[in-house]
Amino acid sequence: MGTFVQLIRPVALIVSAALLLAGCVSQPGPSERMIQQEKRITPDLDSSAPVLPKSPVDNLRLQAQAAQAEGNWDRAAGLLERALRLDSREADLYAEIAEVRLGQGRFVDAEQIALRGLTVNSGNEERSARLWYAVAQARSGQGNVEGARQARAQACEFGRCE
Amino acid sequence: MQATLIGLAVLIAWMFYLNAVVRERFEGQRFTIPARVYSEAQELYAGAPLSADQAQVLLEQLGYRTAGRIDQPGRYQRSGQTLRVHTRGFNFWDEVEPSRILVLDFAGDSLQSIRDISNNPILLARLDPLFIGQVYPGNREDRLLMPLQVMPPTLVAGLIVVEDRHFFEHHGVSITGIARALWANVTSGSIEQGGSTLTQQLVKNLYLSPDQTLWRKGNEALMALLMEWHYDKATILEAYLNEVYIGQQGQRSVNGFGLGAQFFFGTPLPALDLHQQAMLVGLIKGPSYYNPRRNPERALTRRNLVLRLWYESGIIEQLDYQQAINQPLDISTAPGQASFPAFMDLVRRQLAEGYRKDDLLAEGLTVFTTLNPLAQSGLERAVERRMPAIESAAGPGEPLETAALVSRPSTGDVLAMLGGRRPEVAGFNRALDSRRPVGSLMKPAVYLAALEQGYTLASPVSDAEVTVSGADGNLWQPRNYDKESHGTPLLIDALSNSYNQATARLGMEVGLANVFDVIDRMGIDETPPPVPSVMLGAHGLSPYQVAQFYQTISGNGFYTPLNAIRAVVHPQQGVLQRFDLSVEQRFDPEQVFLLQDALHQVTLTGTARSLQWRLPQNWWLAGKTGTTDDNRDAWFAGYSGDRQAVVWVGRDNNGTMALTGSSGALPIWAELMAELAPIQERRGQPARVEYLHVNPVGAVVPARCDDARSLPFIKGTEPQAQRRCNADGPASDLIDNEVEKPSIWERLFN
Repeated sequence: MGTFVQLIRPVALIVSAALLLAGCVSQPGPSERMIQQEKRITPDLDSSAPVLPKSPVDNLRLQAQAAQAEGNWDRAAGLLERALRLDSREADLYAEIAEVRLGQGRFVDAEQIALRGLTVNSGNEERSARLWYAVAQARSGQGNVEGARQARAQACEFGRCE
Repeated sequence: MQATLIGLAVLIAWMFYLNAVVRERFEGQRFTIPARVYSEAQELYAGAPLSADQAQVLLEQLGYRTAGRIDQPGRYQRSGQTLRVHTRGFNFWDEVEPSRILVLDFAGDSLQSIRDISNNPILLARLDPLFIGQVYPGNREDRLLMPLQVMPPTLVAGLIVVEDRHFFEHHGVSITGIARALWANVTSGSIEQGGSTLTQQLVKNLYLSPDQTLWRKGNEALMALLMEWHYDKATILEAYLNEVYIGQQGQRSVNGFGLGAQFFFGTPLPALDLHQQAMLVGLIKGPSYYNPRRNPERALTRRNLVLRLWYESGIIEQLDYQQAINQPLDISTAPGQASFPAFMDLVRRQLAEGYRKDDLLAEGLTVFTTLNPLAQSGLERAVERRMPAIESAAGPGEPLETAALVSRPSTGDVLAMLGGRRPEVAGFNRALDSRRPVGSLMKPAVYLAALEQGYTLASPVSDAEVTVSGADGNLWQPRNYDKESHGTPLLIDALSNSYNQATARLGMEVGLANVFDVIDRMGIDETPPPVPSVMLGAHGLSPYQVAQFYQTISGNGFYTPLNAIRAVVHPQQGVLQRFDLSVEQRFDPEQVFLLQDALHQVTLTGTARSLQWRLPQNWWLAGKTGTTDDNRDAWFAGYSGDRQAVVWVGRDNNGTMALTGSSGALPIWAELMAELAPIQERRGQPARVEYLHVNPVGAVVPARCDDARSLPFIKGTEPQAQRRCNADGPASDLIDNEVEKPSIWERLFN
């Protein structure tokens, strides 16, 4: 009958070797996952101006901004859409998703999402301006000069004249 | 000599063949794993619309177990309105959710606060999603692949002690093991004992039949040697741990320790306690014989025997051993999963557009869907509770059937679906495949077409009897449900009271082509025949199509395709496909705002006014009833906040019922909404819309007039003149230029 040491040694070797290799495999180990998660929860924004999220939607929005800053558009869009499912009344989220689509060069989608955002916004002129501005850019991207001009005029009406 | 040489040559050739067999399977895709389908995950955050009871139901559904201590993932405790949950964590397509302890405080229908174990507030977390099955039902092996390094070392060492204690010394076969087995077989006169090493067991399971023949045993030994020659012990061990058959659920075979841990304990493998690990290892000898759910006493004896072996081999200390054998079996009552055949049917159809069946059966894909377990169970409960009373009110006939669909207006996510009255039965999916006349559910298309043509909600519409001659020369003479005419109601009232005559006349005034254009833009994926009766719903649609139609209304005039899948993930290649938010403007949002207001009126004073007592009065609801000729179909479609639902009730043989949309389908809808309790906030009022007071003939009057009511108008379309309270007759006759100026109070509050 083999002793425990005999039995456990090869297993321990395998397990420890595998743990060493864990950094190279695609599925992170639990502890590493925690660290990654922590990193995500604390977005890497400008350290001189720390922004503390107040709500889950804000939190996701901040993470999306960080992802966007890295050019990770898919991740940014995913985070914003997750936020939208938490609160579909947030017109800003539509503006931000539209801005991600602009960044991706998906101008048709950007225009539609910004227009959809305008239907959930009521009264907030700054948001209206932001959404119309996104519409204008999306239309420019599609070569719709006249449509872009009209959207820009709308944005200007709400205080954003660029 | 020659015979020996020939024999040797044949053996070598045979070895080459076996070698190819061994390598091919091991180098390529080692396991065929059917696609796993998951629900939407429950989001947890302060303010989430989730009650403690709902959360507990969900945890139970997920296979979480209530326990005195929550030292393991997959456990929770409840005391009053507080839940302490040790979450399992999950690898989502967009994020890795860690396993952690969460303290959830509830008040009423919402989650008040969420903290971690050190009392730090947590902004957002999500539970693991509910496993809702495989895409294709059938006799399939299922497993959750786990790398060796995350498996508990005691489990791995313990497996070796129990199944093959010389694993690290032999080269695939154990001479002493074979000798012992031979002796036992010779003495018993039959082949009973295997003497197999882990490698041999793996070879047998991967490549060979379970027959106990000498030929099979010979091949097994040769292949085991070949396998050991090519691969190291760690690789073989990992393959074994993921391969081994461990349990059965219907036609689904549960393989590997990763899935076994979830299946029996509701806890991920790396977090299993010793006694649970020992149970899994003990099961290998006879998954059915030692099944802890069916044969708990036998299973306990087996588990304790395994623990004793572990202790005697020095794998565990005496204290651990004593503790472990004193533990109960600790098996979850049910594996954390659920089956929703109707929804899965939709997922299957959607996947079929982009994936081959073979890949879905073998590639180990993970499919994240939009199914919301709370919405689905709410829908199933609503049907269960309401159907008996509806059935008895329906009168004699074939049993009633139903189909329903819950969706999210903002995104088009299908949250819940019922294909029939019995949700567990996979059969004819009425939500997708039945085509039943929709009756008055079609009317909003007529009214939206009218709004597009310049009508307002205050436009008077004649409800006098109407006769339309069709292109084929036939006369169409729709009559009101109560067989009476109702004078000249305002457009909003003609819709909310669902007057057929007014609607038909309005449709003819607006023009059939315009009405059909609206129907088309609503997003129905087929073209109804161009006959006037379609305006009153003499056309069959599925509940799914109706939901798509109403999504465009609840989506503020934007077409949002219904969607059941969020993402598809490949185990190695990552995210294969994401389904992004997709919206397309089909209507003027302001005109849709007016239509929504009219559909709201339906729930206040119209055919769905019973909602005033069925649901809290301060809820903003909008919807439409539908009843077809001779009461063969009862429909209700409506929405509130970010939840839309369509309900159909009828008989499969198309028999009549003593039911209307409001008595047959609406009670289920109301029960469901009460259960879902969506966030109640109406969409903001568009800047181009203003509310004005009008009298019963649609003229603008001062707010103080007795019969004045406030209606929304798009600026520029409102009736120009304002009149005195007591004036009547057509507005054009009595334009009052000297109407009293509104008081300061009226100006402030109107």
